[in-house]
Amino acid sequence: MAYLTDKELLEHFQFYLLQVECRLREGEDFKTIGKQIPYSLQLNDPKTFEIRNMNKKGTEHVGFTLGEIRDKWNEYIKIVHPSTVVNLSNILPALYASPNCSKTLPFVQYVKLFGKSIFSPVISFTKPTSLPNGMHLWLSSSPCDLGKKAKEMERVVSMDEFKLKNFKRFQTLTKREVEILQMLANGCDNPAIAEQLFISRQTVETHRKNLRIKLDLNSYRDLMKYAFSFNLVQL
Amino acid sequence: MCTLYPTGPIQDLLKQTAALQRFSLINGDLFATLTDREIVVLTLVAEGLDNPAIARGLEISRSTVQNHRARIRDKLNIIAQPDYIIFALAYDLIHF
Repeated sequence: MAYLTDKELLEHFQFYLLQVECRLREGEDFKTIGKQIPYSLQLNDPKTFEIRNMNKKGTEHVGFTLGEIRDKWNEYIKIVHPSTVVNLSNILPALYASPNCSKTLPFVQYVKLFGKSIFSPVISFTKPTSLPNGMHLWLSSSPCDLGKKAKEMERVVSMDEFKLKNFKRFQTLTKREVEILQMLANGCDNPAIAEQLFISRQTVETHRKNLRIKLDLNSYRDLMKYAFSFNLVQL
Repeated sequence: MCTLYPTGPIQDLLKQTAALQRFSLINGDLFATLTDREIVVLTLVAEGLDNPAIARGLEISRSTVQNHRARIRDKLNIIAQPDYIIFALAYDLIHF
């Protein structure tokens, strides 16, 4: 399994941060953008540390809504490890003083995530913006989420590759054969297929044989791989 | 060189991945009841091996394989062949 390299990781987050900044500048609603970002996203005031906006993923992360953070700041700050607070108060002013808006700063925060009793590391990326109010964007993700995301993407890419490679082969199937492939992938056996399609069991056998030959299937696993790739499985 | 054909957007594949994740969350309790040996057998079944091949591979008798399969079926409420593969995919025992 491949993991993102440091550089790819940085680029991945930078891509998101730039995208969010552009869209905010164009006047798009924070809530709409926040929903489409798979990480915790915050809009922070660099001078006061105040969190001005946070997406739903962020709320799930820390277990506090934006309103709750405002009202119960003293409680909220307890879920952030004291060393992180010190660390941030050291590095953020420097970032704030820098006029370069394209700079993204990665760092690790230790936070008690929602439902956890211990502090866990969270990878965060922060970026000053050229938005009128000079807010900073924060994007955070726990490493285990990142691993899951990378794995998900890997699966999607490998399935798409399989689809590309076998597209032509798949197209040689008749409509009936696709129908039978779909039924097999969703757990129908030969008698059930024969009954539903009003054909004899012998005919189902023949169709299955043709499927086997055309797609070079050696096992049910191969059949399921085609069915998953061409989206014939109902989960 | 194989020719590449356009496959269109990947929304289907993304949805599928999410559905597998949901599946693994919903069935976590069932899956947790499997023994290590049963997980090995489930993996081999999902990989597409038949009973004789599994028996040879694990150096056990065919009837033991049958027993394992029967217990896996009962524990996971498996009705048909695809279910083995969906379970194995959802819990990362096999990869497509």
